[in-house]
Amino acid sequence: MRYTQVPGLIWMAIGITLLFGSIKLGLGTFQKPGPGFMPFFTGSLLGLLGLILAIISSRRKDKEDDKISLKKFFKQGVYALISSTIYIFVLDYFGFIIATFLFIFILLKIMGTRKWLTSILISLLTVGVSYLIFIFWLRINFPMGMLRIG
Amino acid sequence: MGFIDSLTLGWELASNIDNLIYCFIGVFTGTLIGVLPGIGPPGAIALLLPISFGINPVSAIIMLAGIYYGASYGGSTTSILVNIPGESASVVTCLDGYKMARQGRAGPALGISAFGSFIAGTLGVIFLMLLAVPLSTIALQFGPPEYVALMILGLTIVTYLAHGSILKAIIMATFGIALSQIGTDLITGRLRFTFGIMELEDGIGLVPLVMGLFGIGEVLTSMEEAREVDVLKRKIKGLLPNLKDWKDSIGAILRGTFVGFFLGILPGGGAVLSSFLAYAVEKKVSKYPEKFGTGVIEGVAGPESANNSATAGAFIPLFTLGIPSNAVTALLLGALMIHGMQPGPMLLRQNPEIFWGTIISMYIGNVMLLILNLPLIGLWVKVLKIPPRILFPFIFFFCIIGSYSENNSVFDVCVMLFFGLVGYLFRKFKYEPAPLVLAFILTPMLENALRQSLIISEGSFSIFFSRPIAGVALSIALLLLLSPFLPYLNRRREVISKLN
Repeated sequence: MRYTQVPGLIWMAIGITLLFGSIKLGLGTFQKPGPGFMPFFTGSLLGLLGLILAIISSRRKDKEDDKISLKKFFKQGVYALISSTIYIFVLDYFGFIIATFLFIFILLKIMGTRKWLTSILISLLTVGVSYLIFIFWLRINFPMGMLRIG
Repeated sequence: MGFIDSLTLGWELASNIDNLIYCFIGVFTGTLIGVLPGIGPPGAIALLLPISFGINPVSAIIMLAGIYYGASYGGSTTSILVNIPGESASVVTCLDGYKMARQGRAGPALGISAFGSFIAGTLGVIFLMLLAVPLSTIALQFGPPEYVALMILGLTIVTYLAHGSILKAIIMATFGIALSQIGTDLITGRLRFTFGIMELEDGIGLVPLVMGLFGIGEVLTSMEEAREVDVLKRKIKGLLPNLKDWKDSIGAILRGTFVGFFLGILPGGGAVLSSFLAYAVEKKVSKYPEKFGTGVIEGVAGPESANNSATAGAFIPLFTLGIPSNAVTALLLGALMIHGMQPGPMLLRQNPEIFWGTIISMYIGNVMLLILNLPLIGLWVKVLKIPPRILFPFIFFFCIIGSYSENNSVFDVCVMLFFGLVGYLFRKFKYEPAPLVLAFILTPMLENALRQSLIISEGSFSIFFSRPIAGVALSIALLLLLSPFLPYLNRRREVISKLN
């Protein structure tokens, strides 16, 4: 098996999950379609398409999909995603102001802003402006955090 | 309600100070994201969607529509000045626009694209006004089978016109249908595919899905290609095109307007496709086709007019049938439904204020855009100079706040980040997310109409083929789906997807 078949197999797996799920839900009849009626067809179609994709990609000569590299992603993008996830979970603990400051600062670093002073200033500015917009103007309720500021 | 009354109603609504402000926010954001790399109209609309929940539906649609047509103004600026299209509808503008800029004619290029956009946008709005009412009268006679057929046709065309592999595009649409079935079944109340997660009982939210796919997903992709932009250093002068420029381009503007509007009505990449077609038309009718690509003003005027009137055309299926024709109008439909409107032919009768208010605001918005994009061009050039490494953290931040604020839900943010990752992988593996979003939004309506049709016909599928409109629509859809096996159609499609 080659890597190129993986996407097709993933689609197939999703399709089959849908298929079994829909049977459990109850297909109904053509006269009286049940909750599993449409998922059944969606699942069958997705499974079939996944199979076709897997077959095509294992036979194709030009290995276009082989060239796809996720190297850069593991250098930058993945860290941005991880920090975003951490941000939303620590928001409750640190409060909007501190968490946002740290978050923007870290993202700036991840994306390649080298100068410390620039990063700190931009982060401070973002916290200030976003506080005015989101909390003052749009009145979104953010957690206050441990320190009761923000 | 008569035509004049409708116009008066629209004018009263659109000229109301609040709505003027929302219109301005919309067109300003539109121009901004048109100029900025890394986020396109669907992402921006998703960002402003949570804000729109709190305001009345007319203002909400006015603002969101403003982003849509505003983006095509902004997109041309970057095409002309730095040879990087801000969004895909302005790709073809690079060909002659950037060349003009290099010859020191950036001013007239920007000028004619703003004026062309203005003329096309205005004419497009007039066409829209004249066509929508009669079309919605026809649409009133449609029953569930016609809707099933038209939605399937719409989805098929979008899939057919997607870039790259048609198989991948069909997978995207099918996956969109599957995602949309997560949550509570509206007819029986049964939970479907929630895997015991309580937050999934209402289904996956539109806002986190779109923000993830089009916001985070796009930024993660552009992060890898990001480079500092090299903005043309020369001072931009003479924004007003001279008499000869006007003479050369007025025909192109009018032709572009027609091409754009009527292609815009069709589902699929209306604005993108029409800009390419308009370019091809100009080259064909020109006395000096060989000069195209060296900085000919018609090559800017035609496509820029076309992509603007296409946005007006795209409102036709949305307002008359309630069927969106692309990802952006699908989001507008989502916004309407969140406000409790029932999009479809009845919308024009039950809520005429939505249609006419939006139409007139588009007219006003076009004037605002002209002012924003000509005298204030310097501002946008400055925006262009913001390096991506500073810009991208903000897009991340806004997407997180936007998806959080809708329901104050951490779960929604996780969904958004998940689809950000998925959207990134889609782009990497050359899957286009537009068919997914369209399918996601259409599915509840499609499933409803499908089940209703089957109940009417007592389980017979012949209902979809014995009724003429449904039959024709489904036959076309089938033909397009089978196109990979039909060499003629397949070749057409390859030509189109190469253009994209």
